[in-house]
This record gives sequence, structure tokens and C-alpha cells, in this order.
Amino acid sequence: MILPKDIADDFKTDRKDITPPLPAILRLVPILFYLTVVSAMILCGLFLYQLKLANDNILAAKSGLAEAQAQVVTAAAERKQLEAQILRATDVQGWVEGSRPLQPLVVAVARSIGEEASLADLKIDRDEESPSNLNLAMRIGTSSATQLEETTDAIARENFRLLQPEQTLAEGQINYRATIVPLSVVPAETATP
Amino acid sequence: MNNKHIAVILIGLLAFGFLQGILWVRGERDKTIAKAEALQAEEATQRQLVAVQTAQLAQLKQSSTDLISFLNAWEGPLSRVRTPENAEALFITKIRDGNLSSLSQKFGRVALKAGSSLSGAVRAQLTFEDDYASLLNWLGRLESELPTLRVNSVKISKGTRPQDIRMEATLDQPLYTP
Repeated sequence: MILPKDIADDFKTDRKDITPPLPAILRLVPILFYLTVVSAMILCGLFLYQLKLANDNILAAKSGLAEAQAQVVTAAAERKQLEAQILRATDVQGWVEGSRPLQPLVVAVARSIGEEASLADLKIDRDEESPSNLNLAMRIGTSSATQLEETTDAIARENFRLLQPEQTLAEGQINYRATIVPLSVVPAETATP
Repeated sequence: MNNKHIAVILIGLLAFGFLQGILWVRGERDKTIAKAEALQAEEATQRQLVAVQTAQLAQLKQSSTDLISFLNAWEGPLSRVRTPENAEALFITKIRDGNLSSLSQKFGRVALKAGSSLSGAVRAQLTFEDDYASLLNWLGRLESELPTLRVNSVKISKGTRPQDIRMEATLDQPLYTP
């Protein structure tokens, strides 16, 4: 028990080397320090683990991205190659469509000429823009009214359609011109060499 | 300020340092997670692109099957004639085989439509005078033996002899480089 100095002296000298205690609030500082150390260990461990997972994810994503980019490049190259092939096929198809044999048509026209008629000349040209279409020009020497009909029927039997026919009759000769369009019975894709 | 105050300040500074360390590690983690998420999003976009491209390619392949089969079937006959010399030699052989009375033969190179994958064609302008059967049989044989040949124009008129006809034909043979 500490007595007031005016009542009794405790004979103790003042101890000047002992510092006064810290205020109570500052005593929390060491507690906070220990808490900080513990939480730093726990949180840093957790964050480092998450960091490692994220780094693993980055590596996986980079590898997946590189694989996907390679697939995109491969698919684009394959598509380009296919498109080139399609273009080539379309060109070949256009050529084949415009190369339908003319000999059967010439023979059909020649055979359709009756005994009383004569084929003075026959010219078949392919259209420049659309080679499957033909420009027909012929002169038939005849006095028969049905001769031209027989010839046009023969052309139709060869699966052609006559468009814009023009005919003039002069001195026992029929001058006939028409555009002949094939009736595409067989699609070009199914044509074989 | 006594030594206790100094100790408190030091401990406080240490605690602050630990807190800063935690915050720094958390910041690094967040940055790495954000980077990983961005990369994953980019990967997902690329995968989607791959899926779309693969589907489109499959569709294109399916829609062009007939056309490609057609090309494969015709590449053989087309590839037989690759140079103008090949084409001229072919024409000359066929004319000789026909044993026809030929009045004129003219060969030249013609350009095809711009952008065509056929590199061009050789045009033969031929004039014959022979009997009807020989000429038309030869033309028929020629068209069946050379399916890629295009008879561009044919003109038939009377020949100088009563039994003969005159045939002027323009034939185009495409040059194909596979």
C-alpha cells in the first residue's frame, strides 16, 4: 500500500532510470504486431497458392491459344485451297458446258433436209459470252413449205430450243437465223469425260 | 520520447511493413488472375472461331462435293494437253488420222476469260473439202475422243466437186496446268 508522503515516508528513493509506463492504448501495438505476423503468414500463403494457380492457368491458356491459333491458320489454309479448287472446278464446268458436241446437231440438220430440198450452207457459231448458246445461220434451197419445220423439229429433238428465229424467203431459198439454247437435261456436274 | 515509444514505433513500422507485403502479394495475385482471365477469354474466342471456321469448311466441303468430283473426273483428260505444242501436235495427229483433204490449217493462241484457272487455249482454224460422211464422221470422232475440245464454229457449204462439201471449223483446245 502506498502512503501519502505527508503521513509516512517509505524511505524509497526515486528511481529515475525506470521509464513511465506507456498509455494503455499503445499496449495494443504489440498485439496488433503478432496478429499482423500471423495473418501475413496465412494470407501470403493463400495468395501465393492462388498466384501459382493463376500462373498455371496462364500457361494452359497460352498453350490452348497457340493450339487454337494454329487450328485457325490450318482451317484458313484448307479453306483457301478448297476455294481455289472450287474456282478451278467452276472454270472447268463452264468450259465443259460450252463444249457440247456440235456434230450431232449438224448431222440432224443435214438429215432433216428432204429430197426436194438442198442445204446451201450451214453455220453454227458459239456465243462469245455464253458458249453453250449457239448462233445458227443456214440457207435451204426448197420450194416446200414444211422443210423448215422439219429442220427445226430435228434441232428440237437434239434437246435444243430455238430463240429469236428470223427467216426470209427469196428466190426459192430460205435464209434462217436463230439462237439455239441447249435444254440442260444433264447437269454439268454429272457430265463425264 | 523514451525507449518504449521507440519500440512501439518500430513494432508499428514492422506491422505496417507486413501489411504492405500482404497487399503487394495480393496485388500480384490479382494482376496474374486478371492476365489469366484475359488469356482464357482470348482462347475461348479463338476456340469459337475455330468451331465456326470448321463448321463453315465442312459445309463448303459438303456443298462442293459434286463440283470437286466433277473436277477430279475431268482433270485427267484436261491434263493431257498442257502446252501449245501438245495441242498443235494433237490437232495435227487427228487431222492426219482422218485422212481428209485439208485446204488450210492455222493454229494460234487465244486468251480465255480474265481470272480463269485455265491458262489459255490453242485455236485451230481448219478448212477441209471432202465427202460429207468422211468429214462429219471425223468431226464426231474428234469430239468424242477429245471431250475437252470445243468446236467454236463450224460452217458447211458446197464443195468444188459435186459429191464434196467444204467444212470450215474453229476448234479450241484448253491448256490446263493442275
